[in-house]
Amino acid sequence: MLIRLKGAQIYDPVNELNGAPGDVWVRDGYICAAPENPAEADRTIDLEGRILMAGAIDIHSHIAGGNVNNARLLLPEQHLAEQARRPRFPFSGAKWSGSDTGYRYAEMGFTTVVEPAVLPINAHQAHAELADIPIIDTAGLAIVGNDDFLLRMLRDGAEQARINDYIAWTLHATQCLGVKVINAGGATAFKFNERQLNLDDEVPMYGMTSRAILNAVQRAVVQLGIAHPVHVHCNNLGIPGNVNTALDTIKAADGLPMHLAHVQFYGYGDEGDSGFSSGARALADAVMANPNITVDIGQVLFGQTVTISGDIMRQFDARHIANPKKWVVWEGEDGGGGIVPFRYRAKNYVNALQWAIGLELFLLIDDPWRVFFTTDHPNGAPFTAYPELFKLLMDRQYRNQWLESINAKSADISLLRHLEREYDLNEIAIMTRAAPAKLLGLKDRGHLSVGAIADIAVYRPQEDKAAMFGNAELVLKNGVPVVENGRVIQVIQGKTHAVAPEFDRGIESAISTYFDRYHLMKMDNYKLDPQHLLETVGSELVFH
Amino acid sequence: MAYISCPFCAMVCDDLSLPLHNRETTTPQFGCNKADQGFRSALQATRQTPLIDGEEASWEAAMKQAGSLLKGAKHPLFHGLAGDLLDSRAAIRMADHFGGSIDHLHGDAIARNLRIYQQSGWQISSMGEVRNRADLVILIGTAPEQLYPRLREKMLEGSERLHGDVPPTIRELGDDCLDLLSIVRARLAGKPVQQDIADSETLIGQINAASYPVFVIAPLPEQRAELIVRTCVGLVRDLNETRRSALLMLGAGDGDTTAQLSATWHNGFGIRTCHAKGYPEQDLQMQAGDRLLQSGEADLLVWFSSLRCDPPPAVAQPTIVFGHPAMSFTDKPPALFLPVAVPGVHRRGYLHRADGLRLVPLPALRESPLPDSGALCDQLISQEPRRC
Ligand code: SF4
Repeated sequence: MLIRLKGAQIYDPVNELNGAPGDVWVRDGYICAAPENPAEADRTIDLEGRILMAGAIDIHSHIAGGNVNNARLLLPEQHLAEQARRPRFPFSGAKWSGSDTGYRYAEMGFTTVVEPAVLPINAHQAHAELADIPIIDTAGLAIVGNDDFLLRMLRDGAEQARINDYIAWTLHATQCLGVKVINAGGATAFKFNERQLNLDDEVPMYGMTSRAILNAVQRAVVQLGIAHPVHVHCNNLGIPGNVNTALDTIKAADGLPMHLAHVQFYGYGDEGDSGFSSGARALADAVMANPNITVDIGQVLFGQTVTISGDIMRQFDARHIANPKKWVVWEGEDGGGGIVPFRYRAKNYVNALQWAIGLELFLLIDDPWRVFFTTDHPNGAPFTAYPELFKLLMDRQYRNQWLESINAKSADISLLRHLEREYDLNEIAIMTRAAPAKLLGLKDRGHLSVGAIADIAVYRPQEDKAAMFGNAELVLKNGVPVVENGRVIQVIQGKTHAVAPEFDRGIESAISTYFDRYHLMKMDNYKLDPQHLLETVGSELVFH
Repeated sequence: MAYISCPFCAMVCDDLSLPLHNRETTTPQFGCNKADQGFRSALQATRQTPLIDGEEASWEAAMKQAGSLLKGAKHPLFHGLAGDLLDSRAAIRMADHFGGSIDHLHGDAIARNLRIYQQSGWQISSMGEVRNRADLVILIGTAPEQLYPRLREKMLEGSERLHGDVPPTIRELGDDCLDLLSIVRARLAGKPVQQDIADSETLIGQINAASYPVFVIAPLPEQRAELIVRTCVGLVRDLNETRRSALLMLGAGDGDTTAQLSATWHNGFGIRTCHAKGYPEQDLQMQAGDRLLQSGEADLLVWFSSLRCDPPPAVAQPTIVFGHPAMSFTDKPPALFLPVAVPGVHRRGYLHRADGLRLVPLPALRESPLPDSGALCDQLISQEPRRC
């Protein structure tokens, strides 16, 4: 099947196409060169006047795993169905189900999404859930940094090479695309009844600091040659004054690649009468000054949501502000976490400032290759609110309208009024396509070069950017038209992406003995077997 | 040495070993009676053909019959779900497709815990955390060692632990402990109690002396369960204001946790959800399977039980069984019996451990001609396009 996508304005930063009209050709799931004779096309889709980009990629969205699923259970009131299922589309009436996640992402033109917090012991479930998300490709990031085996190695002064073996083994065991550190040592310290851990605080019993854990994991990722830099959820999330923690963490990266997740939640100063201010300028300056650092924002948008995190300290601390008043905190092997529902209100000083800080960061960090579009779904807002965020970034007037209606004090002290920048389509294409593919090491997507996967999103240009990005006019996944006029028209099975770095298998005997001594499980059963996954839940793994 | 996982209780132990040359054995000995019995009945089962009204029938005829029963039903109920992830997925997908309701054999307990969870949330621990860190385990429930034969060996008695090398103190409270727990909670919160129980002093002493007391709750008689669980949830919440404590809820097994969790990521809500209107609606009372059957609201029972051999409940409605191949019927046979592969014996699968944190892979022990319920479900869905 040869498809010609004809005459759209193409935004493909990798190939330096900035709105030039042209054709994109697709054969058997991949982008191909134009044939000599255009009449060879089996199907021609006339896209004149439309905007065409590669499929969008979300690098940080909590879409699967025990924590997410338990949040669904906790909050049935948040996802009561509004419409009946469409024939041929299983579970399409089931809001916030795995199916709904795939359908809604696809309808916005997203074709790849990364679940950034796979606790290794929960990896089988996370993958089973990912396999049940239709259409989009997925990947997970494995959580390390509170795992007793790693902390013991560090305490015992293991060589970096052994740490590398262990990190590679973890990726192999969990079939993930990279690693994530959440408040390094924090969940462990919590288990010793500590309720806060700073970057240079010692983790009880292990005698090493959060910083040391982070550095060791970061070095491992670099030395193993894993494309995605260590994905960091810093210490002190959500605490006023924590911009300093973020700045210290950037320094701790010491020039090596590091990705800081949902930095909006670290953009907090502690100035002013309320002891809560914007630290966005300092954070943005630090990001700009350190080209080794990438960030995603974790934008807050107003409304009801639920915070879901492996940061058990933070979630435990936030339990008193739960809205509605119910919360879950859990501890498990090598980690823990919590689920705290929350409603961000425009008239609330802190919430309004959080909203503004996220936007300040988006607008002050003037390098769309290093700042990524996320709401930390569902922590800052559900991903279904993305159209609103596109509009806020692309339409200054719209931002100003909001500034009139949010908490007046927050609006007054925010820099937002003075920031004139509006993202253009090229920058959007970088931030949501080209850059995330590069950051994740997914070379086959995020651009429209010949040989790339034919993940393509087409939008109808509109003044209202929320309407434009909310409903793609056409989406191709692996060359198959899956969305037309903003609605899913065909369900296909996505794939899950992972890395398979080499390591010394000798480490398995130590890990296996460790499991036999301390756990209720065997190492061999703890590891994911791709064949087992494929045969049972139909999950197809692709290695990079 | 390849290890075998056992699906026959909520522990889902993954450390059983069957010497390779013994794979053909039909009388394995694992040192756990429940496991031995579970594996034996699956390995010895010989039924491979479906039954229509108790008479042997071809697969073709049986599937045609299943299709027409499902098509003709106004409100099918997909119930039992005593299986693994693949079985529950099949049931949930069929409920969505044919517009029915789903429930689990242990739906009463699941629904009760869910109600408590949805009203207040809770603070919980995992089996591994208890194994490694709890220094006091307050064990609540009726004869947990019968339900989980290796509970002590695996979780409570390990002397090699991440922190310290002394197994936790076990304080067994049985299932008649509501008064004691309420008094302990009140006293720990500094509230006056009208009437004390002698035991409360010791339990308070134990809790105060522990750095990580965990309330492990095994299945309880229904009339006592709700208040006991609520009291423990509150007690743990109070304790955590200054120190540490947690709950650990252990399911009853038979795929209860797997059914609940997988239903949740499929329909958003979990069991006791009805798909009749085209979208999922959960109602923990109205959608109770037994109630739907007794009231006659459900007009077809589709019973999934790949892990247990007991027959489905005797009901007035026609019944389709996706069942364990050793299932036998003393009373009236069901309208249709479809023997399916037992997960962990005849086919690979996945089953959640009792705390829900871990989905344990189940291997296949031997080749089997038995189909799995997922494949049958796919066939039925494609053979009967959806009505709306
Ligand atoms: S305790 Fe349960 S899971 Fe473990 S072997 Fe016995 S029956 Fe199987």
